[in-house]
Amino acid sequence: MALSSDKRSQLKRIPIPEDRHFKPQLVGYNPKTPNRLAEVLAHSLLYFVFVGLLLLIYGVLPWLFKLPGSPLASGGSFTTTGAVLYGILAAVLSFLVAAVAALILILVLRKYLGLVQNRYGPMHNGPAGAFQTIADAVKMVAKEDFVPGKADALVFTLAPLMVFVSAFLLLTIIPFAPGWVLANLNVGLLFIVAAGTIGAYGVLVGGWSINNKFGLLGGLRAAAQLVSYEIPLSISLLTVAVWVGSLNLMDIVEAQKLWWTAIPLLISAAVYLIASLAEIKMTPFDLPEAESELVAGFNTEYSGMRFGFFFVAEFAELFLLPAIAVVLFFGGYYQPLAGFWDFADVLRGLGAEGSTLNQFGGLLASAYGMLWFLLKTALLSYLVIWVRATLPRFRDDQLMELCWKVLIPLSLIGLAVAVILRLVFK
Amino acid sequence: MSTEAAINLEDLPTLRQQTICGEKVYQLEDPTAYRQLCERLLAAGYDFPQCLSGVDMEYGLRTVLHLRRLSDQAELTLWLDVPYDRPHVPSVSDLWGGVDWHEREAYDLVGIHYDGHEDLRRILLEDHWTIHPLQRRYDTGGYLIPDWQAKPWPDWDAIAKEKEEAARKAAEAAEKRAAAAKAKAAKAVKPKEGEGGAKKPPLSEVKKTSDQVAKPKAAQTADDLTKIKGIGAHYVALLKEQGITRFEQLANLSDDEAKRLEEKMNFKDRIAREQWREQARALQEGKS
Amino acid sequence: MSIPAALMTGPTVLEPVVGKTDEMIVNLGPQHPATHGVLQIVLGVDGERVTRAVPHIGFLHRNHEKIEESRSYAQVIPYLDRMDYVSGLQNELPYCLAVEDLAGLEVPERAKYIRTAMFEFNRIISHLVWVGTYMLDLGAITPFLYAFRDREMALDIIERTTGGRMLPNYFTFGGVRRDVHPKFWQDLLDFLDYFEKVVPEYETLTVDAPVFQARSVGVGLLSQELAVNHGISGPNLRASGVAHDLRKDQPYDAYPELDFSVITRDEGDVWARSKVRMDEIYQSIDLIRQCAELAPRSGPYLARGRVKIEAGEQRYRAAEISRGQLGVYIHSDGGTGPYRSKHRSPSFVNLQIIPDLFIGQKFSDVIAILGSIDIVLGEVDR
Repeated sequence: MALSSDKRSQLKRIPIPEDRHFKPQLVGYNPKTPNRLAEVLAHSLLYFVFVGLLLLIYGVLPWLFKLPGSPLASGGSFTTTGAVLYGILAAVLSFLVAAVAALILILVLRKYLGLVQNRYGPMHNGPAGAFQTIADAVKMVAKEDFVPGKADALVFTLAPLMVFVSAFLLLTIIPFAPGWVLANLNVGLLFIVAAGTIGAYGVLVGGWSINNKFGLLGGLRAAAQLVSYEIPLSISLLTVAVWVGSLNLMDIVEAQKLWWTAIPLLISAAVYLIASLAEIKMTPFDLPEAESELVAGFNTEYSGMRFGFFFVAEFAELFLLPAIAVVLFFGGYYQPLAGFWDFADVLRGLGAEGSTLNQFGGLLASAYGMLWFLLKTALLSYLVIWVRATLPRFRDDQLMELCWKVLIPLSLIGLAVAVILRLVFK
Repeated sequence: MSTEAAINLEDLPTLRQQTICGEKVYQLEDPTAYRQLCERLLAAGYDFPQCLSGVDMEYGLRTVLHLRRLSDQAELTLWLDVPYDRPHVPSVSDLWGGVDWHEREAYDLVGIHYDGHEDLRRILLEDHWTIHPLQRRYDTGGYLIPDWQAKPWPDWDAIAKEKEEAARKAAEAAEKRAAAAKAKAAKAVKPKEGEGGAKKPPLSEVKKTSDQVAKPKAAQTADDLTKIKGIGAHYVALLKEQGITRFEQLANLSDDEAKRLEEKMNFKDRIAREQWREQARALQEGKS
Repeated sequence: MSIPAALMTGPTVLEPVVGKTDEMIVNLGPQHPATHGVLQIVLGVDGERVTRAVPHIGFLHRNHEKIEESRSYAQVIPYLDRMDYVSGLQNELPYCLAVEDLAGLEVPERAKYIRTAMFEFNRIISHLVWVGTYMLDLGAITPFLYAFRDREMALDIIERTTGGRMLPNYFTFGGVRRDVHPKFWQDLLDFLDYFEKVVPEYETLTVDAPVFQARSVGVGLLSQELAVNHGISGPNLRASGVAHDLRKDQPYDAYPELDFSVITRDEGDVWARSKVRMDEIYQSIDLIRQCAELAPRSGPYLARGRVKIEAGEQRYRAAEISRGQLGVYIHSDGGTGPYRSKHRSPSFVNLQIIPDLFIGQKFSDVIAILGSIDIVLGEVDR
């Protein structure tokens, strides 16, 4: 019922409140009063698991196998049974290492992106969101295993496995600490190139098999990009081989005890970092799965754990390619300037030769090296994520131009520099 | 600089010029002349197509084209009326690319066919749609209004004359009012100021005149017809349309009148069955 | 009236052309992350190069114009909010201007300044959404979150006065619907003081960034003649070197009293469109400051009067909203509501140009061009 105007003027005027709008409250986690210690501990949780797994594989397992009276070892080395058993256990555990590395990186990426982008990141599952990726993994596993009707079912199934295996193979040759490597190949550098290429095939056939136009475009983009960028990447690897004189990764690390390879081979290190960004399909080189253009590119039709394999492989590579960079250019498991004074030597010198304390000191020294290795890798991974948060995407022709007109000539110059330096200094 | 004077308007049939609410309007009924005029306007520098709308005028369909000349910001409106049975208008999308989709929209929603348009398909509705929803013969739900009738084509000359007459009368009235107001102001005491300035701003001058027209008082007050058993609010409204608002009228209905009423309002002899007349008579007696 | 069979064609389905290389038909949309709503563009691509482009619109069509025929003049305003939901306040203005013209209503001085300040404030909000979503199109995620952080604060200020965030229903004929929040002007100035320091950050991330420049300079060139002939308006037109701005050319509300100049650039490419929008953010900041300085702090905010429009009256009024010229054509039959109201939405007109801009471009550039035109599909389909 309408009021007459004089009646309306008699009504008491309700004052406008200062804050008229409703302010929503966050449930469960108040970022205004965070418990910093709990947050750091929560985020370190997965990291501790990761370090623990590495220690288990490389330190504790061999020690357990070689316990006095063990049937698996004799005279300081494994028997055949022991070697096979150790191999199987190590493979299973290093699979876990890859998975946990991916989990950590996903969480860290999201938290760190949140920091860069003025938001909180995951914060509801577990303390400060520490279990978010675990919840995501459970969700992915629980999803329906779905093959699109027009997809090539066999290739569709194989593609994520190829990508995943390629990433997983790279893990076997990474020396985390002196002697801590699953496969100490004397053709390690070639293995990196070979294993990395399998992943490119996986992406290509994955994009083709789903019978989706966006997938096809994404797959073709990926093929062009990954194959092209393998050239500067391989030339950078070759540069290191020329400078050090070995293809074995352990030898390469040992050669960097005093000076990092990155100091004389600065150009090659830079080329490697940029090319590895393209290899792991991170912004500004994320054309194969360019979300705003190709929906999801080569994995448009993938869901559930098949997508999970792509996803985990991508983040495992986000750990592995910086790890290889650390091995090749940034001194591997050595602390900086280890040639002058190395704390690991102090640890190794504990106790009398052969005593338990001495053995324990050796384990500690290896763990110390591993921590340096992981620290350097983490810093490089952060760098990648920072780039990802900042830059927009290149266009495909610009991507190719950058590769063929800039990176390949640069890497060749880097190679020439390495050759000259080797002739002069060695 | 080209101006309107440079545009040749002499040989265009059915062209009328008028100014509505400050807008210069060229009104046309001949499609060929519309096309010719558009070509001349483009040549005269009307380079920016602002808008093209289709309007259902109930006697025909109208295309309204709004043009702008960016050099001096002159605006122009074109009307072209076409009858329902031949809703064909020459397309001007080749002159101004910007009206391309507007013409498609006018075709889609109003049903005007733009001859010569390259790609005249439905644009907002689905391609298999059968009606043009902005035509007045359809209601908001898209249903055909059953007794919809097109209006006769207006006699524009008569309307123009009427308008002139009305404008002349309004001017005279305004003069008189001004004179009266002057006289009144001379007499009246100056009203108090500073009271409720924010609450009651003055009405605009133009609106005052229309507001002051007094409503004719109803001759007799209406009765509450819902007291009759069988008549609800819906029937009250229907009866009101037929001019029946009081018990007396209902009670005095003859058989013939009642039958006609039933036919008209689709009552199906409810008046006799529910004994509206008898009830009304009783209520009328009770009232008086 | 029967419809000729030739006009009742089915949906346009492109047949791929088979030649030296096979043409592939790609459906960009209706569900696609970069189409900013439900827009479908059927693209013919030869590898990465676009050979044909046919846009399809209408997926969000509500036929506001039919609904408005059965509404009164005041009841139409909420529908206007829902056209361009990114800049709801701006949509209301041209309609109010048209009704004021027809009904002969005078807007009080204070209401004019409130409307102008709100109008410009909404331009900032709209351009913020553009910055964010456009950079998301180009693959950068961070500017999106920065832009939405600031947009959130701006929306709070609008909410305090109007009660709504995106659909405020605030302007009305004769002024504004209710008085502004007591702290409105102070809120605005505080926000602008903060925001002015943040805008350079956006510039660093967008128009000044090398990768962005590599993606945008020389891409999607729109010539002056083509732009004018196609009725392109707003930043898209001004980036092609045409100094057409209705705030200057057909001033309304408080714009005649404000001191500003029309921002233009001559390049006509994606970068120029982006730069014009960034500059317009600065211009809006300046205009709001001027409004805050000049606006009377007391006085009526609404001229009350009856809206009685004679039969046969008609008016086309347009205002320069953040996307271009938003026009309203009202035809009256003397009733309580518009007999016919047609909305000339800028996105609808600007979108027509895309086939011309797309052909011959790379697939990635198609996304860059589409984003640079800055369309809102709610407004295109109405």
